[in-house]
Amino acid sequence: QDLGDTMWEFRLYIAGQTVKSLRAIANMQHICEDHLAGQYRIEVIDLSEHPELARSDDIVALPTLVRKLPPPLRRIIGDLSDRERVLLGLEIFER
Amino acid sequence: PGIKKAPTGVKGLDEILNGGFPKGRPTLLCGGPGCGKTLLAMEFLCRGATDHREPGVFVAFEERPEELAANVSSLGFDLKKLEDDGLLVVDYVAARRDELIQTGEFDLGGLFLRIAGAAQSIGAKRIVIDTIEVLFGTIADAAIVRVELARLFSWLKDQGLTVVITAERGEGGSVSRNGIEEYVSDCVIVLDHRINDEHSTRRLRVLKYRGTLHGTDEYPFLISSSGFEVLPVTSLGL
Repeated sequence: QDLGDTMWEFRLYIAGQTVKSLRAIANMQHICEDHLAGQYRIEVIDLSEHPELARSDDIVALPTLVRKLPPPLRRIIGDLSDRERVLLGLEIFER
Repeated sequence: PGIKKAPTGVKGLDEILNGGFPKGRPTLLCGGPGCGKTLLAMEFLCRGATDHREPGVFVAFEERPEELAANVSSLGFDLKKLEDDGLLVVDYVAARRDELIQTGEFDLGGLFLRIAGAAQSIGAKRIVIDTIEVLFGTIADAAIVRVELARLFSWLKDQGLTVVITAERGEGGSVSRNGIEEYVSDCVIVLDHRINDEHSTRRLRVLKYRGTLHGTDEYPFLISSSGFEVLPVTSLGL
């Protein structure tokens, strides 16, 4: 995956301000700052406020992170604390 | 007085179950591929909606929408009409066939929200969760899946929903492959489909049913265009 100047777009699904949710948000921000500075966007979806999205977006586990861009769609689950597996799952390779 | 029952409406089955499945409690339908467990669970849901005005939710982990609709129409029910009439909600959990890469702590909160949302949207009384053990295949950490399944089943009981869970038959001692029977202590039914020298026989056995009398034999059953028919004759007589 050539990092170049491609734009990365992520959607992070959580449910309420739990420890797992806050940890996932913080972890993702750090990972993106370290690896995708200036070319990423993270949209946080709180399913406790929009429960209908759980079904429409086919979410089972929480937190779930979806890479919308660049295609193809990739999904990983958990609070994103295992950075190596996050990078692997999202195919973010060193420049 | 014994426990309250939710009639299944399936020909011959309520007689064997002495009224139906345990109301507000979970029932496990277990059997090998093609044994008819999904169909029986779907018939319970559709008859609940049409005959007893009890709306239902079907959570499908394996079948695709078209497969399910075809199966249901083969029983003589119109899935779309039941959904349009607000008597049935079907939620297809694709849950990604490929393994979900795990990067830390998680729970099945999404699944809970979906089931709660679907049940509330139609005031469901009945719910079918079809082969939830697919999750053991897509989520590596079986321990977390087990903890969450236990949490799910106690939540369903608190909602007073009559739940039917289907699961694949296990080898050796365990009833179901992933030990789903651990979470279902009330009613366990095993379906069997044996084919020998072009003669196929389908049998149903009530392995366990807490707090009530029930038929204890292995009963042959048929699947016809008007649904299941359990023959309350003991198979010994055949």
